[in-house]
Amino acid sequence: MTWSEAFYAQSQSDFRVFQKLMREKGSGDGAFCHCLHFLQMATEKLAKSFMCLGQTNAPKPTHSAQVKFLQTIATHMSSRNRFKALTNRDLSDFVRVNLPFAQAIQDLAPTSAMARLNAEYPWRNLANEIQCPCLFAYPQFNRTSLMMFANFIEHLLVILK
Amino acid sequence: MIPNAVSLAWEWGKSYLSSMATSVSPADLLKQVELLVKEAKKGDPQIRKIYWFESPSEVRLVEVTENVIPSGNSQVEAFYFPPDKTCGMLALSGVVLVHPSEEFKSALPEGWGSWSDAKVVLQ
Repeated sequence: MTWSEAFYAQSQSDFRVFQKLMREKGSGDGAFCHCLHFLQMATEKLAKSFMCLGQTNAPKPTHSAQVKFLQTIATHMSSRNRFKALTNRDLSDFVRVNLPFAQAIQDLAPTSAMARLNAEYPWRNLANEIQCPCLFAYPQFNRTSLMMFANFIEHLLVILK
Repeated sequence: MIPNAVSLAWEWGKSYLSSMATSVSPADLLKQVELLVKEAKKGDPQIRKIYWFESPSEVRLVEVTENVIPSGNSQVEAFYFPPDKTCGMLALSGVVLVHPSEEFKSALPEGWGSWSDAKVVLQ
């Protein structure tokens, strides 16, 4: 197995867990942070699988590859053709629409200082209050936009296989 | 030590696979560059310049666009896409998107050489 195949398989698995959590608990009981966490991990690993495709080394550690990955596939001929064949839509339009949400998902990766909103660790907000992911409602993550973005990632997992 | 038949076969197999991976002709690589450049501009009309870093086995492009945020790292990273014969792309393609402020400043991915090695294929 190559590094790329391994990252791709893990991305698929993370995405399946995201879907399961959304079906079971996404509408309540404080588990929304876990849905966001698995979606963030799935997109990060999908991007990383294309950072090391055909390469012998593992991708460098980064939490900020997803947005640039989406922008890159929008300019790549083969990805554009495959996306068009699957959805009859233009990939660059889809990327443009989903980019703000993708950026918000990318920004969910935690920092070591625990000083910003994320889906995994408690953090201190600007009002100096400690926040806990499982008790936080994430009002900035609109559910309709979330499902649209998740649908997009699902398409990508199919066309980029 | 005399190599046995199994290790000879193994070495031959590795060499054969390696030659398969690098068997794209320069003409096919150039054709792939032209296809990718044309399509990249369709996908992002803000692309103002594309650099091609020649390699015998893969296509390596750096696309300069204002549509991306500067990476903030000293080295930029490439995303790689597999060959796709259905659209005439016989080699692996590596693509880096950079902001104009990173042009000629950021270090390129390992093995790509330096900015001055590139040919400008879109300006």
